[in-house]
Amino acid sequence: MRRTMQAIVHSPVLARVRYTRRRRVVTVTAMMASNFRRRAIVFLGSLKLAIALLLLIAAASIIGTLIPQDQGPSVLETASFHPRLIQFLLAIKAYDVYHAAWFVALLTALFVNLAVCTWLRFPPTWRRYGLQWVARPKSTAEQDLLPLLGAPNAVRLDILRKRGFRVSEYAPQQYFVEKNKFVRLGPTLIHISLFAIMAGAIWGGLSGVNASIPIQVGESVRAEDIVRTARIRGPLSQPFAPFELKLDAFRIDFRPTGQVKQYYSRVMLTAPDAQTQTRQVWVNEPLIYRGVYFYQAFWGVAALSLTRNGQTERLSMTPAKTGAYMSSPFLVGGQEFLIFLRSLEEPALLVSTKNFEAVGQLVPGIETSLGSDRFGIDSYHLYSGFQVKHDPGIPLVYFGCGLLVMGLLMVPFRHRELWITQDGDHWVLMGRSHKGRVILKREMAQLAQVWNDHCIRGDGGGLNGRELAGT
Amino acid sequence: MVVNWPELETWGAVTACWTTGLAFLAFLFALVLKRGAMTWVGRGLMGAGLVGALVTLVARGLVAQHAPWSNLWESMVTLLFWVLVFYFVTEIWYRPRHFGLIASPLAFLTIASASMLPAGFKGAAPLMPALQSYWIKIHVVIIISSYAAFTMAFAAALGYFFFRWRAGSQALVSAGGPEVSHAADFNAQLAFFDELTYRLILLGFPLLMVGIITGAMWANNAWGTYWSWDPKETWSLITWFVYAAYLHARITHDWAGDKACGLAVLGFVAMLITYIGVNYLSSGLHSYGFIR
Ligand code: HEM
Repeated sequence: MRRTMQAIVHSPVLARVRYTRRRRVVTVTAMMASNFRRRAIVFLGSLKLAIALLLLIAAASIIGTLIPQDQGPSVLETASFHPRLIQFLLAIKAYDVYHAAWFVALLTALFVNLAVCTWLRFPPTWRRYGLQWVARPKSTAEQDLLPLLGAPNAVRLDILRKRGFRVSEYAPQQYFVEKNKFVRLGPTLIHISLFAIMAGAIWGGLSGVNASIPIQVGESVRAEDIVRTARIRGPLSQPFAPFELKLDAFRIDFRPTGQVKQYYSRVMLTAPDAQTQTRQVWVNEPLIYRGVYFYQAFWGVAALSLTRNGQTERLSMTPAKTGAYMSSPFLVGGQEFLIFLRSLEEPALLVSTKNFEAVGQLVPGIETSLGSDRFGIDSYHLYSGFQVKHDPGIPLVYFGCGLLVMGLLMVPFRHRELWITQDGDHWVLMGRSHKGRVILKREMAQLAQVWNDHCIRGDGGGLNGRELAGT
Repeated sequence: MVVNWPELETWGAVTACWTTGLAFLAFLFALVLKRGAMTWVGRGLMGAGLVGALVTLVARGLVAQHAPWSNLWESMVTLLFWVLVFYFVTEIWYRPRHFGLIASPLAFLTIASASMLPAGFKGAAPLMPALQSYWIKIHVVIIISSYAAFTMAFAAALGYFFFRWRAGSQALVSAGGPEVSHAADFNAQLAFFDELTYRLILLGFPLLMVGIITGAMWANNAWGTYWSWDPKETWSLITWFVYAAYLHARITHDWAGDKACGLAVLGFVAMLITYIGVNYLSSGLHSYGFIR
């Protein structure tokens, strides 16, 4: 395959690249070739395909923002849509679009498109980058062309140099003038960085581990348990080096308004071959151990200590749908009750399991009687939830992001190419830019005006043209 | 001297609302009555709006003790600020004709709809744990500046369609007549507004992309995943892809004109959904940032 591709690229057909007059976009004339494989490759590298894929992926992505993505097919089965629509949505895996085979195939197609395109189209731009000058285009149809009233000389060329143009004399009295050539490397940087990011994401998916681990205060979890219960475990992932993570303390800071301000876990990490470390972890401040990140992610109520006539008993709490908690039931005088807790800032409710009616309120420190018993809440036992993650793809993704930003910084700038040359016996200023000609034309008009002012007055003055944007 | 910051905050927002609204009237007079001086009045009013937005942001920052772009109202005032900055950048660099006429109502709508938000979206509120990060300062402000650049690109596209419409009706009236130069002028304006749209998208696109990258870094820092396909992330990707399609279309097909400006409008719609619509769509990681 590689052989064929090389043969194609170096074949005279493809080597015959044509600089279109306005932009130096390389047109691959191999479209003419009858050879199917060649045509397929040219198609795979085409901008038409790129535009179609970008718009298609954008459109397809909308589905996942309309249908909940984390609840499995059941959200569709119970939806009140037309049965046909439900069938269709199930068939395209609309409940998990971003992992559906067809969506991944679209992304892969974009990846391939990008690869082929970069490889077919970009080397000419690098070669061009190495050139000090390019000859003036033959055709004048698409260039802008303005008359100059006098021949170039040192002072007049300085008018251009002062404005940041680089001037080279490529033939006697023929000047090539350009500005911002570096911009031409931007797209290469951008596209290569996209590869780095995608490669990093794929590598992370293959070899990463991602787990959600709740730990109660005083308890601990071991590395192998984390890996075993991980939500995401890539097929190439390695087991973690052994360690044990213990939650020493957990604290929630509230604001006076009752909102959560921040929550903190004090954890102790012990490993057979490392020093024990104690650290505070909070949201946005993870603990990092050998490439494994522990993020403070969530918290909840695991149990509560109930006092009954002075005796303490521990009831486990399970989360209910609305974010509230229900305790395991207990008997009072032959009847079943449970504790219902909406949030830590509100009193807990003592609820009968028969009709779910509240028969009393409980606030820590204040007792309530029910029948002949006195109940109180001694304390809540909280758990702290950690997102534990190991993603070996991250360095590559970040490297790609850095490269991408560098390339992006160049995007708003434009490369201008001008020629000072003769058209018959007149001096002319010719020019082109890859990013539109209207603004370039204005800029050229100003340059020509300054130049011509100089020609008329012969003093190099008259720099009255207003400066145009430097971009 | 004691400065009453909360009062200054309100004062700034009200000023910005009035001045951008009046600027529109000034630009309208300039066009209809053909009074060039009114254009300068309009620009002056837009400048006053910029000052108002800046005062509001500074005051809110001092009152709330955090970067003043943390709830919907604050972010809309920030948007207004950037819209006005990019408006002036466009005026100074490219000097488009009648641009204020299109830009000022957009600026006015931004601040007017911000002030009509229910009180819950407006008040200075402390930040949730996940938002207490220096990333929010960077991420949100970059994203909003990209929205502002796209808003001005949308304004330029509207300018294109405006001249296109005028050129169409003009051509009927003046076919071959003494108005030919007039039609040529319209065509020059068309090409100009088309290219102005392109220039502004070339400005907004990198800002959006850098905004998405910083957002991914923030998410990675706060939640441990840099991409989780939540609705806001996904819509920013959709917006990004639409504008990427725009840029690539311009490279090859010479899609200049109607199709390109249409795509710019489509990108703006996607941007609006990313910015506002998503909050109503569903609840993702970002939802609590704005709607609580
Ligand atoms: C996620 C996908 C992509 C992104 C974000 C992206 C981004 C960009 C950006 C920002 C530019 C610079 C535009 C400018 O400065 O005017 C660019 C240029 C370009 N892109 Fe892409 N691109 C993507 C995919 C593709 C694909 C699949 C192709 C293949 C056909 C392609 C072909 C090109 C070409 C030929 C250029 C112009 C190069 C030049 O002016 O020298 N891009 N791209």
